Amino acid sequence: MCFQNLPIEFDQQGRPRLREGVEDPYAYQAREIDRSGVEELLRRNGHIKDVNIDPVTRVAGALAFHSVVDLEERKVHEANSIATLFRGYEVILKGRDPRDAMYVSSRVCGVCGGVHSVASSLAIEMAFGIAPPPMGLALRNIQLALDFMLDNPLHLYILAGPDYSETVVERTNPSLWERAKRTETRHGDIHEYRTIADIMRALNPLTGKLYLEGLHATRPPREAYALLYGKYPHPQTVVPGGLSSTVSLKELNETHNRIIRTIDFAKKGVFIWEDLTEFFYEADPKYKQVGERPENLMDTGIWDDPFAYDGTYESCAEWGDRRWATPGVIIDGELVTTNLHHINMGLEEFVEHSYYEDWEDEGVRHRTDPAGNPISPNHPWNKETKPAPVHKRSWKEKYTWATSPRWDRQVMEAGCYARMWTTAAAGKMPHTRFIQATGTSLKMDVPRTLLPAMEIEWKIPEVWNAFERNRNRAYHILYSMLVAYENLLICFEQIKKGETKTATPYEVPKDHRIGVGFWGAGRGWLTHHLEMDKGALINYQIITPSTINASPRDPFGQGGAYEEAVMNTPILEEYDRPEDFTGIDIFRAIRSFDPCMPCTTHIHHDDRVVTREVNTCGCGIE
Amino acid sequence: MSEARAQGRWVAVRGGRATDVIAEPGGTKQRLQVLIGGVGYRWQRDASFGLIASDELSQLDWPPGVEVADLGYGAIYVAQDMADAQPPFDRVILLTGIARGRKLGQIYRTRWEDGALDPDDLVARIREAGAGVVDPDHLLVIAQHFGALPDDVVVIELEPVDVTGGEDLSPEAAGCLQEAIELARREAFAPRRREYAPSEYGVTTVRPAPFSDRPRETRA
Repeated sequence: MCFQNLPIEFDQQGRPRLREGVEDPYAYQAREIDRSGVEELLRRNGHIKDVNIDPVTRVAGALAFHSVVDLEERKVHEANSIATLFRGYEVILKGRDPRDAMYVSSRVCGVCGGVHSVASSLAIEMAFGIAPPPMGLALRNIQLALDFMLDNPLHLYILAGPDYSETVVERTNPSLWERAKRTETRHGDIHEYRTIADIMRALNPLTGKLYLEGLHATRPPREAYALLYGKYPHPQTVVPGGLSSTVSLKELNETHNRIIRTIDFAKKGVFIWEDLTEFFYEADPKYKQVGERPENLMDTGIWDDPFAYDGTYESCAEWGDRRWATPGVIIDGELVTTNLHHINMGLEEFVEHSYYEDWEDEGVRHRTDPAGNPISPNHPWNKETKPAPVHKRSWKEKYTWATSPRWDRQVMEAGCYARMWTTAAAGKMPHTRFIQATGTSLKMDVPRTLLPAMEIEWKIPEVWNAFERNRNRAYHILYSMLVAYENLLICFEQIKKGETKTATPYEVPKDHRIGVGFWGAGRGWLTHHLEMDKGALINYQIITPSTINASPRDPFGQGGAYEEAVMNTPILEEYDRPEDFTGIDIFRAIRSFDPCMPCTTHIHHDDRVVTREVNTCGCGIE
Repeated sequence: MSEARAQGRWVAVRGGRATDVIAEPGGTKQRLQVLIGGVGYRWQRDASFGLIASDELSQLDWPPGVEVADLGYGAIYVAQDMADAQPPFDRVILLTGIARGRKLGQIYRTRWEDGALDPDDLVARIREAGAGVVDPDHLLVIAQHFGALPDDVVVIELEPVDVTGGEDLSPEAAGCLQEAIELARREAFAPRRREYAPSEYGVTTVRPAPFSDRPRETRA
């Protein structure tokens, strides 16, 4: 029984149904937000600051953050995550040919467009009733892995890395910097940095060795991406039913070459983040609380088995289990389901604190999913995007353009770590040559390159915080490379067999259809839900990882993942005067989510207020 | 598979090839390597002006050495692609819709002037570009840092009227489209130059405002 809050029970055959005798099963009473305590604190205490991390907004979209921080008690009293722009891609898609979705949704972001293209194609395939041939599926898997091989190093060394660099640590925590200079690394024999301070120097922006290598590491996967898919980040070859490109041994060999070239950097990265994480934990165990939040994570799984995927909703529980990353929901650290039907059924999206109207007046279009399982009136298949800007932001009422996706009415977190966690815990990963899911870890056999062959094991962590998110991301690069490698071998075998077809022909159906693309970005969960009729889209809903993580409070009074993580973050920075406060611990907490967000800090002071500015891209914004 | 693709560079969008060469002042004929690129997001009305213009430009016949590209992707990657270009570009012409507080619905021809970059500003822009933000100023700053810009960089800018999500340009911006296309074409065929001649669009030197001073946009 995976649902604790939704009115869904399971019969003896394990079939879900609405609990009997409940008149309005999905009804809820929205809870008012009580800020009286915080307002009173602000009135009484001069050392409690309203900290606004405001965006400099652009068409790109932005994310801002508001928090109330007690600089004496070193505690965060309130946190609000704010998406400041509405971009309207879902509205633009209504009425269009469904195939346009691959191109329109790709342009949401300047770096991860390809994942949106493929999520669209999956949703379209389900609606059209088609599936790609094995070669097309294996190539699609490689495409996604290449995305991550690019995305994850960029986050670790360019976006988050500078927070752990000499230039930042020396300023925000001088005693920690002194300790780093004295602390020898444990894995210097692999990554060649003798002290933690050496690693921190290498993370210095613009000049540090790791910073520059992180930038350079994005080249090989991007080259391979362009070889196979025409262009990065907006691929030209993604079509419903597969890929329009014809791939030969030449492109596959060149891709293989580029994966191998990057493996050493990825191997070293694991040990760099191991050493950094353990250094912080040992220096002060309170660092385990930075970015801490409940172990509630979810992922749809990714990387389809080329010989099992049929693209249908009815059998998604089966083909989902065959993915190289197993779908799943983790609640309080425990895996409660791997079934894509359950994952989809539990999904709801709320807008009580967002700049949208609800869609109650539109009626409920779907009481069940295509397999007959109950779904909520707040499910994406029932949702309408109805923007309703207000003139004054209110922390009690509406304060963001992001919505509140929830699963079983619980606050969830998306991330590449969610998929590694569900995969490790489920132990279902099929027919893999290089990766083993043990129930508590993922063991990876990484081949010899310049560095020797290694068995590298990511273990489900005992604590969940900012450092574990980053540490996992370093492992996720290798995980992605091994999946790419495995799928390359499948492509070679398909070519040997003469099975080189990469796409399935189709016709655009004219009758009513629905579909969903269960896919993932470097930052985690990605779903595209569509409904079409007469050959045109009548509804399109996208839930990105940043939508989930940046969500505001829900009607049940629960803050989103960023908000929870910041609320739990202790202020460990060293400062004597309020004006010296940089908020680095809060930034580490937020950035650890890889929130499609280059948190850009600009500090302005007056006598009373500390202001910071944070920018993001628009992935979390509808 | 072209070498450009193998290097992960953009693929030139459509457009035929002619055999013109560009005249150098003084009569020398020398082929210039010219990149024309639109910068911005799609489906954001006037903010997508540069991409719409570059789509139109890609339909024209261009001589060898002129590439028209959709540069609506992360500035780090565009800069890497520009730096990798062989032979290197002699001239870059960017088209974009960007608010700089000027008269709305007008075209501005601006010149990018190489200069000292503030390291904090640069890091901030790289961070944002790395997370998917597409912004012409990010592109110029980051590309300069990576040594990817030639001396001759012209930016043809629209001061946007309407940047809400949507497919069509505002009537004012739509009225400027052919003007921008013709201007880009003229820039592409202009002789190699050491100074910028004035035109009816004027010559302004553009240095992006520091990151923190960019105009705020609040719709809620």
